[in-house]
This record gives sequence, structure tokens and C-alpha cells, in this order.
Amino acid sequence: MDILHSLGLGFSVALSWENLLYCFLGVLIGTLIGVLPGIGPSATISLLLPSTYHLSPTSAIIMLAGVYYGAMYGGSTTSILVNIPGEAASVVTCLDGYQMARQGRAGPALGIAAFGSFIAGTLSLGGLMVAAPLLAKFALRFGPPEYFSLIFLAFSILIYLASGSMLKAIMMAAAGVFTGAIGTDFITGEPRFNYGSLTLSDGFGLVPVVMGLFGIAEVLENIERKVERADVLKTKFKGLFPNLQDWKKSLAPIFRGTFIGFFLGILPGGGSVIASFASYAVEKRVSKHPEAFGKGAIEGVAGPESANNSATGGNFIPLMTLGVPANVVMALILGALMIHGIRPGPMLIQEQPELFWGVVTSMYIGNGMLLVLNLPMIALWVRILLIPYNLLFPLILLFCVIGVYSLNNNIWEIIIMLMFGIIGYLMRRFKYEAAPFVFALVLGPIMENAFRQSLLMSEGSFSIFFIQPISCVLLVAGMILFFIPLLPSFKRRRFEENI
Amino acid sequence: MPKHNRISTIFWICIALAICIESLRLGPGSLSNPGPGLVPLGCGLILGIFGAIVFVLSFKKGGEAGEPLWKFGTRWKKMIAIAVSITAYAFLIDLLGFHLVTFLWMIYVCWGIGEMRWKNAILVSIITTFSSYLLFEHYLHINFPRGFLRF
Repeated sequence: MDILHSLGLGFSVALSWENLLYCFLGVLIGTLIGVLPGIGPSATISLLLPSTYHLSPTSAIIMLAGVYYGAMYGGSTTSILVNIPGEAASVVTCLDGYQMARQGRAGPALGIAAFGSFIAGTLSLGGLMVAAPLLAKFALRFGPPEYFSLIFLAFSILIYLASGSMLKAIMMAAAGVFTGAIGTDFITGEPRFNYGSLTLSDGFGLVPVVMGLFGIAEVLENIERKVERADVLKTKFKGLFPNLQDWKKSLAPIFRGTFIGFFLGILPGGGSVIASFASYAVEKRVSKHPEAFGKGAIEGVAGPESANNSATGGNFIPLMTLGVPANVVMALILGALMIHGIRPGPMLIQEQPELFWGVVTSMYIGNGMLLVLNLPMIALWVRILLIPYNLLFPLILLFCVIGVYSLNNNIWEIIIMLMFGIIGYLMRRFKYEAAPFVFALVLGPIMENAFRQSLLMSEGSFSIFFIQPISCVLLVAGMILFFIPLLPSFKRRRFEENI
Repeated sequence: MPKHNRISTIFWICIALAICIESLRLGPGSLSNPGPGLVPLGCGLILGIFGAIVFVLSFKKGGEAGEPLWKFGTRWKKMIAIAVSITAYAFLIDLLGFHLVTFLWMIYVCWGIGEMRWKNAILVSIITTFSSYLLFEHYLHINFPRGFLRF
């Protein structure tokens, strides 16, 4: 009954015309950027952050969540039709989706991607509804040592899963924590590294930094090289509904993908990209015909597409219950909540039930909207690829500049954004990832607070992190992940070759 | 990409050094009473130590060569133009006002950097300036500077 009551509350919030509008806007923008290569959900959420200042927190999160899971839907369209992944979580869909399209089976591939995404997205929301309140109750036992250890574990997983060099990911995490420390020390009130600047008295704002690192850097990188544009007019597709045989082959991968995506999504540091690759690997392993993978196996589309959507539901669990984001997109959503003075944690579901249940139920509605948006309008989305980049990049730049300026009417924030844009561009050229930096920038102050409070509590003894059982388990798990790559078999692969 | 790594790590090691010096000046405190410099000092040390490891590893043989850092004759001029135009936008917005500077800036970015035709650039600039007025000023009620023309 309790959950029915909560669902009723959630739907009453999500079905208000205002939230429906923002949900629709979110999934529409998400699909759009999912289709467009060269701009991903992190960049888009960064661009949209300033506009959320003027919305209610619930509407803001409904819209930003819509962008995230909408991008997962949109990304599959271009992967299947033109072999260009709109965003990273759809890379693996290219392998079999595009082969299906070449064999004249683009329709069933698109159909199973959309239906699989819908089923997985909806099921993972069920998981979110059940798991989040349970985890929130458990998280009430968390004190500063547990939070420090949990964030350490999150960093370890994020660094371990970094696509490039782990050494560089560690460096970026350290740089991010340091950047988060700039401003005013929250315990002593002393200014830190701001050198009398009023703009920096509260530190670097999240919005100028992420808009620079993701928005401006993206444009600078793309303007330097020619962005790949596909000859989409040559692609033909018809009959979007998969046949009975397709469904038979796809149902098990969809459910397995949902399961894998949900649990990988919960893990701090986990996300849609890992979920889609893991699902593909599992499907290939369990298949009786692994040789068909890469040549147009529908299971290779159904599994990963379900997994990446399911992961988005799982991602919200650590954010909403522990206040610890699972990945960089969730870190940005945490930033949006903090902008509104909301600090997610174990009490969020009790203190802000409209926010939690409103966002969860809006995702059911958003998933339905996406099905309608994606299936009948696929031809339109594909034509979006024809938008020339010399029209797109001025719009992105303008949105960045106005968005940042609109926060405080402070021109120095535009300059800060530009500075981080150049840094972000150089980071890309020198193969340093921005994700650990932004993750650390958001979580750094929380981690520092937990660390210093723990030391104050224990009068300077590190044993506090090991005496508390939850903290000990989390810290040891983090340390194992941190040191696994030192083993000889991992060492060459992760430490040296990727540098 | 050993050359890239050497250049980038020298930069990071310098930054790490500066962070450590400034953190020590702020005061790291003690473990029982951590000061404002403690965590930044830790960050500086991690950045410096791992930067040094990457630097040393960059002398090992092998590894991909990486793209050349600077390709002359390509589009680097556009990147500089973008950076300069954003800086100019920031410093002219109070003087010229939001609408005028946005309109002029968009024309420059579309025509000068994006190589659009004149007519298209003007059309896009008009549409985007008007749309940004609708979204930010009319809908989100943000007050932007009017400039000397009070426009």
C-alpha cells in the first residue's frame, strides 16, 4: 500500500502540465543529442544547467533525467542506420545493428532497440522504486567515515574503468578534488586559493567549469577536424515491428540486459557504456551461435540497448539514497540538485517525497513518450544528421555563453568557462579524461568534509575508517580495485599501454 | 604518445609544485586538527607523484606516436578566433548591450568562423537573438544589460 500511495503521489506530481512539458522537452532534447554525434548527454546537461536555476527542483531533475535516458534511445538510431554512434553507450549497437541494416533489416533492429529500451527502462524503474527506499534506510547508518570510504570506492571504480590510462585518471581526480577545494574552507572559513577574487570566493562554479570542459572543448575539438556526416539518404528502412522469430531471439537478451544494466548502474562509477559492453559480451558468450555476432545478430542489438537504458534507472539509486553519483552525468544532476539547495541522501525520500517519486514516475511517462517519439518519427531523426556543423556549433557556443552569463551576470564566469574550454580541449589532445575531473570536482568537497570530520572524531587516528564495519568493507573494496592493476597481468595493459 | 606525455606531465608537475607550496603556506594542520591546506596538499602530492611516473614511463620504448600537436594550415585559426570572440563578447556585453552584442557576435561566428553565406549568417543571427530573448528574458525573466543604446 505504501508504494501505491507513493506512486499516486509521484504521478500527481509528474502529470502536472508543467512537469509533463519538461519531461517531454527532456526526452526530445535527449533523443536529438543522442542522434547527433559530437554532443553527448554530459555536454547537453551542462548546457542546460543554467536554465534549471529558474525551474522548480522537481521539474529541473525531470528534464535532465529525460535528457539522459532520451539520449540512450536516440543513440541507437544512428548506430543502426549509418554506423555512427550518437553517444558512447551505443557504440556496441553498431556491430550488429548496422549489419542488420545492410541486410535490409533496419526496421526490426530499430524496433527491437526501441521496444527493448522501453521494457528495460520500465523494469529498471520498478527496481529503483523497490531498492531505493531499502538502501536509504540502510544508509541512515552512514557517518563521515562511511561516506569517505564510499566516495573512495566510487573514485576507485571510476578510475579502474577509465577508458584511457589509469595513471592519468588518478591525476585528473586529484586535480578535480583540488579545484573543488578552491574558494573558502568550510570548517575554518579561511579563503583558499582565491587570491581575493570575489568570483572565486565560493570557488569555481560547476556550471562554467562543465560547460567549458564539455561544451566549448567539444566545439574546439570538432572545429579542428571535419565532423563525420553520413550519407543518410541512401539508407532505407521499412517495417519497424520485429517478427515472432526476432522476438523469440530477443526476449532473453532483453531481460538479461535489463538485469546487467540495472546492477552495473547502481555501482558507483558504473554507467550505461559499461552496461552495454557487458551485455554484448554476455550475449555472445551464452549464444549457441557466437559466430553470428558482428554479422547482424538481433541479440547483439536487443541486449546492449536494453542494458544501457536499464542502467539509467540503476544510476539514480546511489544518487538519491546516498548522495553519491554513479557517473559523471549523475554528478551533474547532483550539481543541479545542490544548486537548488537540496543535498540528496538517506533522508531525501522522506523529506522530499514529491521530488523522488515525481522524478521516478516521470520516467515511466518519459519512456512512453520516447516510444512514440522514436518509432513513427525515425525518418525525421535521421534527417537531423543532415544539419551542418557550421550551423550547430554557433548555437552550442551561444548557449554556453548566454547560459553562463545568465547565472550571475558576471563576465568573469564567461572567461572561466572559456579557460576550462581550452583546458578541456588540451586534455582531449593529450588523452586526459574529463570525467574523473568533474566527478572529483563535485564529490571532492563532500569527501574532504567527511575525511576531516572523521579525523576530528577520531582525534587523528586513521583506524576510524577500519573500525566501522561498513566503512572498512567499502575502503578495502576500493583499495583492492585500486591495487589490482599493479598485478603483473594487468600492469602492462592498464598502466603502460594506455598512457 | 611519449612526447605528448612529457609535455603534459611537466605542466602538471609544475602545477602540483605550486599547489604544494601554497597548501603548506595555508597550513595543513595536524591529523587530529586538519587545516585548510591538508587535502589540497594531498592532491598536489598525488598529482606530482603520478605525473612523475607518467613522465618516466614516457621514456620507455613503444606506445603509439599520437597525432602531431599542432598542424599548421588546418583549422587552428578558427579555434583562436572562437576564443578571442568569446572574450570580446564578455567584455562588450555591458557596453553594447545583450541584444546587439549577441546579434553581432552570431554574425561573426556564423560568417567569419562557420563560413556561412552573408544572408544566411544574418538570418541565423536574427533568429537566435530573438529566440534567446524569448527564452532567457521573456520566459526565464533574466535581466541582461541594455548597453549605451538602452536596447
